[in-house]
Parts: sequence; structure tokens; C-alpha cells
Amino acid sequence: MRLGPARSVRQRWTVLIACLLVCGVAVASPGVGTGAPHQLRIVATTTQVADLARNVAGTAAHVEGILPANVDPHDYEAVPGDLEKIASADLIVENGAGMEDAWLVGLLQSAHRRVRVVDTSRGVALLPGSRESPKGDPHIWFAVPNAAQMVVNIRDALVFADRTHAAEYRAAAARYVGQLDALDKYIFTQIATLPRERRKLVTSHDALSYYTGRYGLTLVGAVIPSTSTEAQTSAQHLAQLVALIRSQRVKAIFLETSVNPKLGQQIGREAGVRVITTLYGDTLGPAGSPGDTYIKMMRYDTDLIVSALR
Amino acid sequence: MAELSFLSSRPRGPAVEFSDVAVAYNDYVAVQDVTAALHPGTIVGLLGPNGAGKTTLLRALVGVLPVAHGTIRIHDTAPREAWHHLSYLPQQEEVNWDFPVSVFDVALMGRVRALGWLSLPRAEDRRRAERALGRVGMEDFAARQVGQLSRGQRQRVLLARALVQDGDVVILDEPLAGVDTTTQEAVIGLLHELRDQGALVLMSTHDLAVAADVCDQLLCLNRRLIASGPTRTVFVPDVLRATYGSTLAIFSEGVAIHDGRR
Amino acid sequence: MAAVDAVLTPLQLGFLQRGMLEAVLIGVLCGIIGTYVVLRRMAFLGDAMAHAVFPGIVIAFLLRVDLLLGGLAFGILTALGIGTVSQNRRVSADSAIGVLFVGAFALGVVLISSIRSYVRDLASILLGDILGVTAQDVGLTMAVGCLVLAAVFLFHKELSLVSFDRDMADAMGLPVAALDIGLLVLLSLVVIVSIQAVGTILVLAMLITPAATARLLTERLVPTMVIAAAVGALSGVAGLYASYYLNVASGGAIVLVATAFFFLAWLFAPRYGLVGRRLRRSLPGVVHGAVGRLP
Repeated sequence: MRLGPARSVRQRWTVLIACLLVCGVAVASPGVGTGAPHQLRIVATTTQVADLARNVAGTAAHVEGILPANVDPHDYEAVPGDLEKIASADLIVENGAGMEDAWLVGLLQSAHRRVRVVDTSRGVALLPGSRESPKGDPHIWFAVPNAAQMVVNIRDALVFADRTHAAEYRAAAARYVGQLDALDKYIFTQIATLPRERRKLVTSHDALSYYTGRYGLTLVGAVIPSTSTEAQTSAQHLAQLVALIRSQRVKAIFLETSVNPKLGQQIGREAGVRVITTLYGDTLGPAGSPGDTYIKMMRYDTDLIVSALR
Repeated sequence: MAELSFLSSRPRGPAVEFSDVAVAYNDYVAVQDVTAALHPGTIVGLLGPNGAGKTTLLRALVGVLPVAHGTIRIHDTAPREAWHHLSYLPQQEEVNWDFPVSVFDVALMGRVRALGWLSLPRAEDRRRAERALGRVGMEDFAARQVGQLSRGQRQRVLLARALVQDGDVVILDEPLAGVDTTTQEAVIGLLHELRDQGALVLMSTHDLAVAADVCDQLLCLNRRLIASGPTRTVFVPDVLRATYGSTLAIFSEGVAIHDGRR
Repeated sequence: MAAVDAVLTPLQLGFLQRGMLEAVLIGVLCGIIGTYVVLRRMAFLGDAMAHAVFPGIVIAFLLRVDLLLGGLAFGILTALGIGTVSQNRRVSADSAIGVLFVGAFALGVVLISSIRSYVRDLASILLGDILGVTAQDVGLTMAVGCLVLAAVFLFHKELSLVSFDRDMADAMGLPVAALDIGLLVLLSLVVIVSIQAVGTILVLAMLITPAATARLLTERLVPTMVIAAAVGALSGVAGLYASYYLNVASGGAIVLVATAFFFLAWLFAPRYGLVGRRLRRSLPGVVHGAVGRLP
């Protein structure tokens, strides 16, 4: 072995390569941008909540949803892709009121992360639930003022997490709440066109209690007598429902896009009433459908109900 | 006895021909080098110790097992095409005796193939079954469920089924194993009747005394053919020793096999 | 006439009329095929078929074809697969069944997880939806029923022989493998239409329980089938009445009634019931076991 100049050359090469490796690792590691500021990453659970969050976040933050359209949120089963989303989220926005109870906690535990979870139902007065939904009825968004409250909760959380864009969030939220206000008035106007005795609703399950409560309709009954789609139905219940529909002279029954329509159609046949199968209940519609945003969905449902019951 | 006589209606020549037959399964050669010609109007005994390949050979004869080498011909036809020539009494062990059929039902089963698909049994078929039950002495048990029978009675029922098949090649796998003396005598009597009507009767047996007494010809197997021919030629100590090996003890009055069967 | 009223009131509802008819048809079909399942010790196989149709239903959903056709195709495929795989002597029938039906079910599970939108009829496939049967469904069940009954009747002698003595059937030149597979095909047909009533999970009970009940009451083949059919049909009807008057899920109610019938027979059957046998044992001078063995 020769010492002296040869050794120092080798040493220099070693140091140079080591530096390059370290730099390479540093550059390749995630979360280090090329200099642009970090955009807030929001993960929302349901389609409705994701839409509300997008309207507040605008371009300042990035919103990703977990649930796809037309999937039942009550008994959703998470997939590995959801874990990835959670793993890189800065904030999680949930519906709350027990909607995600069956699956979100488990998902968070699997991700081994402590992430801030925004419960958008804070401040919303809950209607009573059922055996399957002990915390209360989770379908809070069906009364527009509740949606506005949810938006406020989201805005506050975003402002807290991302002060640099606070002004944008506040402005976006204010604009959107204005739109919600107009929506609320629209629904009242439409329902008012229905004669009083026609304002009776039968749906797949008890998802629309907030809607009927606010806008002056009566929920006569549901195919599955529960606020969760998991409950089973019996012959007695179906027979009672048919009798009820007949005695109350309900004009049409509404089946939601995410629930099994076979039983509902059976009831429609038996009671001799129209069966509408396209009502949006638990979820928004896929992109391009008439119900792909919250506001569009509420308008669509309203128009559907009013035209069927007129 | 109203059964047909076989002699007049069948051509002369061997009823069954084995030509250098070997039968194997799972790469195990169960039996080989079997060459023999068996003629109508004979009772042939198939002798050999356990595992000699007797049942395997019989199953190849009825067409259930394929032949690995050589050919088997029944009236110059392949076994599976010659089913109408066969009456078969298999071993009792593989039968599902819990299946709810009556003695009469089982006897009638002998006609299943002859009737063909989609045909129901007719009066003539029922008469055959009744007659067969009569020949084996089971006519009083016709309505009895087979699950309630003794071993000897079961053997007789299966024999009745074989008779209903009305074949001129009668194949019996251990027909006398584990049955009482009455049944044994009845069966032997029946075999004589069949032989006298011109049938070829081929039966495997462990009972050397019966073999010597009843059979006109013998085939001795021990995973290959040791000897075949008329009983008085084959039934000699050298051949028997070659067939049974050390399990054999020869006394002046007869022979005994030391494998626990007797 | 409160009793007559109680019987007739539910029948005024169209969906219960259809449901009852469907329940009777399914009870009869399951009872008849179930007799073969029980007598040939095919319970495991029956369970296998009930699970094997599941991926067929999922695939049919994905391809937007009739779900029952998809299930039937997969049931037949599995039947053929089991028959073929068990021809290899190193693979026992049990193993062949276990490998194929669990593999098939897993395929269904994987396919479902890849579907990102709600699969409308799948919940009803698992648990049954007899209250949702349409006139078309009943028609299909009737058609399948006629086919199955005709097959069982026409091939009665061959099926009996191959079930009693497979070796002999083979020796006589019957196509035993084809007969076995044919029976499995009939089984898959019955399973598919029965899944409508009680779902994949409970359909095995409808195949086994009425036939097992019948075995306690008679020793002969045809009476076993008839009694199994009757018990199956009665369970279906009684289960629906229970669902109506007791406000319980229909599929489960039907199976519970069938199970209750079984235990009644197990206790009180004249010859084979527990109570009967105990009584006979305690009576002096009676030769117990009316079916002695004669020498």
C-alpha cells in the first residue's frame, strides 16, 4: 500500500461521493419541496363534507375525499389507499355525529398518526337517532343552516391550521354561506308550492329527518326503520308501511341511490305508488351527475320531491 | 328355473381372453404377465394372497380399471363394450349400506344399464328381480331395508342383483368371504347352476378347500400369473407354495393359509 | 274465526303471496336435492356450492348480466373443477372441495373490494331477500324447479345405483363422473334460486335440515324426499308468518323454524326419537329395536 498523494486522492473521492449521497437522500425525501411553500392537505370523509371543505379551501389548500360517490357511508370498509391519504394529511374533516364511527377510528389507529380531526357537527342540534345510531341522527347536512354551521367549523379549523391564507378562507366561507342562504330560501319556496296534504315523504331509510323537519314535510315512514342502512326489515314492517302509505295517500316513495331498491320497489308495487330511485340520500353523486356538489344535490332532491308529490 | 341357457345362444371359443395383461395404478404395477383363455361352462377360481392383484384383475376385467399392458377380450370385445355379457358381484366394503333402498330395489338395479336412460322398470324387470331373489332365498325380505341385513344376507342380495344382470360371464370378488355356512352352500349351489347353463364363472377366493372342490380351473396370482389350468394340475404343493409363499402350511388332509383369514 | 283471519290477512299483500309461493317452491326443491346431499354425505359440498356461486354473482354484476346466471355459471364451473381436481389420486375429494370453493369465495371478496361504488343487490345475496321477490323471480324458480324435479325423476334409477354402489355403476358402464357432476349442477341450480330466500349463509340449512328431519321419520328413499320437501315448504311458510306477526327478519325465521322441526323429530319421532327409544327401553318384555337382525 502506498501512502502519500495516492491515499489523499482516494480520501477526497470518498468524501465527495459521501456528500453526493447525503444530498441525494435529502433531495429525495418527501415533504421537501423545491422551494414552494407547503400547501395544507385536507382529507375529508364523506362526499358532502368534502364538497363543503373544497368551497372553503378554494385554491389555498388541497382537499381529498375518502368516500367515493354512491357508497354507503354507514358501513364503509377502508382500503389501503385510504391509509396513504391519512398518512399525509394535515387535517381530517369528518361529518361527526356518529356517521364515521364504524370505520374512521380504526383507520386512524392503523395509520399511527395523531392528526387533528375536525368534527363539523359541533354546534349542530342533533335529532334523536336509533339503536344503530345511538349518538343521534347523523344526516345533519340536510338542513341548510346545519351545512352553514359545518362550513363555519371548517373555516375556523382551516384558519387555525393555516394562518397565511386565513383571509382567503374567511372570504370563501362568507361567499359560500351566502349561496347556502339562497339555497335555503329556494327550498322553502319550492316546498311551499305543494299543497299541505301532499307534503308526505317515504324514503329508503330515515336519512331525511332534518330536511323534513326544517322545510315542513312529514316523514311518514322508511323502508328500513332506522337511520342506518344496516338494519334488516321484516314482513310486518313492510306491511305496515304499505298500509301507512295507503292511508296517508302518499303519492310517491323515494329510494336513495346507495340503498338496495328491490324492497322499495316491492312496496311501490303493493301500495300502487310511484317509485323514484334517484334521490340523493347518504352521498353526493359522481362527477358529472346532477348531484355532484352539495348545493346541486339539495336543489335536485328538492325538485325531484316537489315534482313527484305535486 | 326359467333362466336362459347360455350354451345355445353364444358362439364357441373363449369367453374371456387375457393376453399378457398388466394392470397398474399410481405407477404401482399390481399384477402382470397374465395370459389365459377362459371358456363358457367352467368355474374358474382366482387364487392368491392379499395384495396379489386378484381384485385389481377383476376390476380390469369389468372395465373399471384400464389395462396398462396387453388386452382383455370378452367374447372378442373390449370390456367396457361387453357390459351386457357381465354379471358382477363386487366386494361389499365399498357399498353405501346406509342408502335407503330395499332388497328388491337392489335386485332391480341389475337392470339399470339394460333399460337404458329415461326408461322405467317394467313388469318383466320386476319379475326377473323376484326370481333372482327366489334363487338366493331372499324373497321374504324383498321389502326390507338393506341397512338392516346381516353380512350373509347382504351378500345374497348383491348376488341376486348379479343374477338379474343375466350375463354369461359371471364375475365374483370374494363371494364367500365372511359368510355363514348356509349362505356359502347356497352360493356354491347357484354357481353350479350357472355353470351348467353354460356361463363362465370366475371367482376370487381365499378358501382353498372350496377352490379345490368347486372350481374346474384355477388361476394362481401373486402379482403375476404363477399358473393357470385345470384344478388337478394346478392345485399342487409346488404351485401353491409359489403362490402363497411362506404363509402356506400344507397338511395331509388339505391346506391352510396362515394369514389369519381362516 | 280469528284463526282463519290470522292465516288469510297476510296473504292479501302481493309481496307476501309471492314470498310464500317462493318459500314453498324453495322448500320443496331444497328438500329433494337436500336428501341426496344428506344421504351421500355431501354437506361440505353443499356449503361449498353455496359459497362458490358468490364470485359468479359479483362478476355478473360487473359485466351487467343477470346475477343468477352468473352465479349458476360459477356454480357449474366449481362443480366441474371439483370433479376434475379430485380425479388426481393425491387430492382427496375433501381437499378438492376445500381448495376450490374457498378460492372461489376469495375471488369474490377481492373483486368486491375493487368495486368502489355500492353493489346494490349484494347484501341481499348474502342474507336473503324473499320479501323482494318479483313475479319474474317466482317464474324462474318454478322453471328451475321443473327442470330439477324432472331430472331427479328421470334419472332416479341411475342416481340410486351410483349413490348406493358407485363401483357397480361404473362396472355396468354408467358414466359415474358425469352423474356426480350432474348432481352437482342440479345442486347449484337449487342453491342459486334458494339464495333469494335465505341468502348464501343460510341456504345450507335449507338443504340439510329438512332432509335430516325426514331421515328421523322414515327409512325409505322416496318418502324421505317427500317429507323433506314438506318440511322445507312448511318452514318457509311458517317463517314468513313469523316475520309478519313477530316482526323479525324473514330468512332467519325460516331457518329457525326448520331447525325447530328437526329437534321435534329428534325428540319425538316414533321409531328413532329420543323419547320413543327411552320409553321402549324402560318397558319390560319388549324387544327393543324393532329392526333386529335375523340370522
